[in-house]
Amino acid sequence: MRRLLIIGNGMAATRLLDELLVRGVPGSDMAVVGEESAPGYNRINLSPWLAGEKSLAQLITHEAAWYAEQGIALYSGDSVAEVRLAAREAVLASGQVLGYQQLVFATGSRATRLSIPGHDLAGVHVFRNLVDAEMIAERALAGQRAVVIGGGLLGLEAAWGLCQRGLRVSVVHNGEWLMNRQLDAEAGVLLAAALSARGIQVHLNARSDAFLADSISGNALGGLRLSQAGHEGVHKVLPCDLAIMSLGITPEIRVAAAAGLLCARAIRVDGWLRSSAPDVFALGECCEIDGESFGLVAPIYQQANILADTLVGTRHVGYRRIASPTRLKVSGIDLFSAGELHDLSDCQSVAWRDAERGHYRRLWFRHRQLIAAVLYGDVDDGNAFFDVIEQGMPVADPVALMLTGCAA
Amino acid sequence: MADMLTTCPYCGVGCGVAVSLGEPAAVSELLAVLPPLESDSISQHAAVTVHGDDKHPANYGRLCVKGSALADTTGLERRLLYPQVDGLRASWAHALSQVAQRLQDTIDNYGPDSVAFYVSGQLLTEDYYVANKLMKGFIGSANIDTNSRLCMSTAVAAHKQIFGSDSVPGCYEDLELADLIILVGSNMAWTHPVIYQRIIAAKKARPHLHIVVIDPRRTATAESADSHLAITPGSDGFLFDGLLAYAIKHDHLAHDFIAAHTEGFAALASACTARNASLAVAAAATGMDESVLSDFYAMVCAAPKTVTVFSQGINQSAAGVDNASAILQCHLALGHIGQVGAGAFSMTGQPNAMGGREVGGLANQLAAHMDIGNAEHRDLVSRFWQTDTLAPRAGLKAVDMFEAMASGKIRFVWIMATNPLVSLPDANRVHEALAACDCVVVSDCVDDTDTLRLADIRLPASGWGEKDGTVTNSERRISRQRAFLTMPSEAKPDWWALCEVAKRLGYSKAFDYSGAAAIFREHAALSAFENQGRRDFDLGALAALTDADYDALEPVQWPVPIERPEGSKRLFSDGHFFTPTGRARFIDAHPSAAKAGSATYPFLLNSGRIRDQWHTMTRTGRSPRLLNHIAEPFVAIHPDDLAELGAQDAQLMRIHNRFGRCQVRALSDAGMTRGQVFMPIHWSASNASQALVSSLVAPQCDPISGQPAFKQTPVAISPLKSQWQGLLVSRVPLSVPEHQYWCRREQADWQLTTLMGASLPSIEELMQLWQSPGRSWASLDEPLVQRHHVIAYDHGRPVLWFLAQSERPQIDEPWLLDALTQNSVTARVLATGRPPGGSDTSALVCSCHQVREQRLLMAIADGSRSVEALGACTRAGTNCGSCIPELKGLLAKAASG
Repeated sequence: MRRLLIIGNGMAATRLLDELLVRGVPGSDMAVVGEESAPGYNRINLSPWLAGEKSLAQLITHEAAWYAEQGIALYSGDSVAEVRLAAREAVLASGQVLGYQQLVFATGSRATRLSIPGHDLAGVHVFRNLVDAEMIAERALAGQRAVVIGGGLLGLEAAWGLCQRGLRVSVVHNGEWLMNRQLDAEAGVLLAAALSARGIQVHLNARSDAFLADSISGNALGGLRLSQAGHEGVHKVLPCDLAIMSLGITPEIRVAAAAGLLCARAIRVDGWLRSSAPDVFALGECCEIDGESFGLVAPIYQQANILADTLVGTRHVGYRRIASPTRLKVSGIDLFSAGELHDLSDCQSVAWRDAERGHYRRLWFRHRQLIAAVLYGDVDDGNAFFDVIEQGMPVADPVALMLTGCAA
Repeated sequence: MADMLTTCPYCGVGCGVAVSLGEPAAVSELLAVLPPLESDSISQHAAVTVHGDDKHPANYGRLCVKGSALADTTGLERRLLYPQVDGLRASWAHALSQVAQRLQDTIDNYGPDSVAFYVSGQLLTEDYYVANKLMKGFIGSANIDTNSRLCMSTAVAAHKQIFGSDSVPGCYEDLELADLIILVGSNMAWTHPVIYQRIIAAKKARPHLHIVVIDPRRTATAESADSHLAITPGSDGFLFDGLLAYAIKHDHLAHDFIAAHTEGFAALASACTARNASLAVAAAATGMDESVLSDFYAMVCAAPKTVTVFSQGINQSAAGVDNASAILQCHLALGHIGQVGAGAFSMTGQPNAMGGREVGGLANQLAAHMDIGNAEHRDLVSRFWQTDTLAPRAGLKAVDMFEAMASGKIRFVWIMATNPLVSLPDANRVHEALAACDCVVVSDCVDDTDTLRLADIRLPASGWGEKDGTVTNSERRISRQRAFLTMPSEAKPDWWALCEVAKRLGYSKAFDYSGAAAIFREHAALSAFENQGRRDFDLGALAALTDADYDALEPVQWPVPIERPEGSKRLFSDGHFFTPTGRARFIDAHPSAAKAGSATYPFLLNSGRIRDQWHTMTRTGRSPRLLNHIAEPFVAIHPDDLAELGAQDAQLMRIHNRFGRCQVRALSDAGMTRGQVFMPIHWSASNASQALVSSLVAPQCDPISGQPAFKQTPVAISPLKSQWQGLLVSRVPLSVPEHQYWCRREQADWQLTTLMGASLPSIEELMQLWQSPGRSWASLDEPLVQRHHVIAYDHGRPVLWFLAQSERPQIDEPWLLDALTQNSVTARVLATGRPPGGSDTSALVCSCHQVREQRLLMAIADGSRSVEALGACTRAGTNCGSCIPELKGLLAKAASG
């Protein structure tokens, strides 16, 4: 029996392994169960891989051989079917039973799917893991038509990836503008225009009602039927050979909940990543702290660091929420977003537009405090804005800050 | 190429300039725009460098900041390069025929007094001579006057009244040999910097040399003086009348000199007594304490050698001749005339004001210092010129001349090398006059001035570096101004154009000159003609110069009679004057009360030059570094007056009276006396919205000299509220949004327009105003503090940069222009107006070395405690020294904490 069992082999888990090794925990104390057959890889790079910008080798962070070298027991391509807390054992899908002293849930999340008619047709995919990516890549042939449902970051990355593979791509987004959680309307419009210029069609305020079967085979995807908010009864059909749903993630908590761990939307843990059961921990996308759940890599890496201390018994200050800016690159367009963009109705904003270079930036202030920032095209001062938002200090000259990134 | 020696085209100091030429610069762009009409092509202007001529006796190698920047001004941008008739390009042949025909038609219909020439102290003596000869000698009218009327005619009249001739007695060297120098109505530190530097150097060598500045303003000149008498404006006559009374009362008179060489002193003395001239009266009139005046008078009476320098503060007054005469008479009474280190010294404003006087450029002169009212002189000149149509009487002086145009008496005018719409008083009336005149011919070397806009015929003149001839400086020194550049395109010397018109009028024989040298020989010969020592102006020794001699002519001070080819340092050393009796004349130049403000117009406006500009900036305005010192017009006002008006430094002010209105920024200046304000004369409709100071000045002149009173104009002042202030930088002049004020200047390839306005147009309106096909924009949307910013690109190249905000924009101009030109940074960085990491945008102090105030304050903080130390540390003040008064001011400010 290994002392420590980690369920999941995603980026949270591999980071935790690294942190534990650094702290002198021998690999022989650890066992990892990974659902995917691949060893450790960087999920963030799946989009560049799909776009052909990165090779598979560049994705891999932890080779199978690495686990062996470290003496870590890796159960890949298997999954945990049940955890018995009282007995301190986990039952794998393959039937194996693994005992543990300490258990970590690093189960991550799964892609949200639409359950509209036709969702099981061949050619309808989600884009979450390497298997998804490989399936999509296998199916995506140049000249075909693809639809990406969801104009968030991942959806647009997937759209760009398919576009790079020579497909004719449409993005269907059920919001007023693209990436509406990270961008303001003006940046969203610029982004849509830039995507159109790259051959990606954008449909906004569009609800996906049904996947339609291809008229020849009858079981493969042939189109997507849309309706537009406020225009009930008016439908439009986008012919397509491939559809990717990119509608966000749902924390993967089925085994934890069944085992009796206290869960809300995700597994509830405290600032030291401790769950409601002794010696059971959770981190990453499958956990939540004070109602906050996670999707970006920075807080998850912080959690890995804290949890490693917790597991070896070192004292560590608990998890402190660190907001992180969103720095993204979509289809070669740099984007940056920081702060709270949800409720800006009582804010005043300053904006800079450079049509010559296609740059745009806007800062929102509430009583001279910087609340949020969106940068499009030229993201040079993003981190500076992020710092000003976090420090909350009053800004004497908002325009100077916007133009130079210097608050003084 | 070896140095070419010439003279500076700016002030009356007449500095020698050594010019070196580099490789010719390409002008293909200009050629593409302006294909030559006639055979000559646009010449290629070479890269020019200038430095002071070490051997020239005016400056011995020194140059002021303007002279040092001459090389910046020889480019072909904005040059008038071909003739135009009625708005259309014309050949010279056609243009000259038109000038001659319209001139002749006017004479035929209305008589010779219906035509006029208005010429300039910028002309060379040879141009001037020919113009005067044509008008007075052959057209038969004396309606030729010059812009020297505005600056020197008072000194001329006073000289003639007291000395019997228009003779400046002394020389620059006297300023270095004097014990006491009195500077009256002269901000010499800024207006004649090289002479001022000579004085300062002399004071350093001989610390007992005492310098007194008499000026209502505490000017840069006053900063370095031993004492400063801030007298009531226009009360100079009382000051010197009081001095005379003091000298009489305390018996400091030069009795022997008065007895041997003057006449009329007794009458003057009793007139003084009769009108009770006294210390008390002088003190009351000048606003000075009696004790201060008495100390000053005692010092003057005790000083062995005194030079009194007077300039526009004396000349530009309705009582100018009386005041100047009072100065000359004090020198006579104390025996301080024509002596080594002692004399009364009129400093001329223009480079060739003296030359113009010598040829008779004023309407009440004839030629060669002869009088048009003198029948003997008229006969002499008629015989010399072989004409029987010599003008019988004096013509109209400048102000009257333009009034005669307005009233239809003069119907043809030829204006040369001057911009009367900017320089004459009551500019709005001058505009009416030119608009009313049937035919306005303008010869100029630039393509746009306020006056050129009203011209029917425009003639392209050659400019400095292209013209060849002579000029005379303030100390009677004749120097060659030599050509070192070929004349561009179709530009021609003014004498050539005048002679061609004269030939077309039928005077071929009298105007058939082989070149400037031939004209000079004739001029010199006329001065010596039947002279025999009877007239002060005699160039007999120069009348037979060969062309080669003329080319090689060394600077020489007149008189240069045949027996004294080395010239003359001083006049009147022998006590001989050029009156009929040979004695200097005392007259009762009784002082008159100075002008005062009224309830309606409570402020007295003074006007003058600033350090780094010359006249209407057609030349100096092209040098970026000269515009860095003071880039905009202003009204200098005492801080307490400003506070009383509820205004702040740099706020837009309206200055008005019944003649006109100006709107310029306030410049808070503790050197101003309360109730008095000062405005520079350089800005006009060509480069600012409403900054024409002459539009405020009444057309009131000295009754004898006809020189207008520019120095004491009653005005009302009120602050204006501006919602926004802006800066527009563009490649071409653009229309400006709704504004209260704009001021435009040129820097390299860019037009910089400073703006103020009451309501700021929206970004959309601005883009619409400046829209152009294919133009793309960067813009700032800023509702928080109302800051608007747009930058435009044509084909990826920045063409327009505009910022408007509630406060005055503080930007790093050199950086911005460089970044725009190089297209080296993104619009966002351009928008900040300064290089990433910040820069010094404080006031420029030293133009020569481009040293700014912040740098100097840092040097002072680091321990530089003297002008020399600052110079060693920052190089400020080590070239022309014009900024030394400002350096002293900074040091004093720092010392007082």
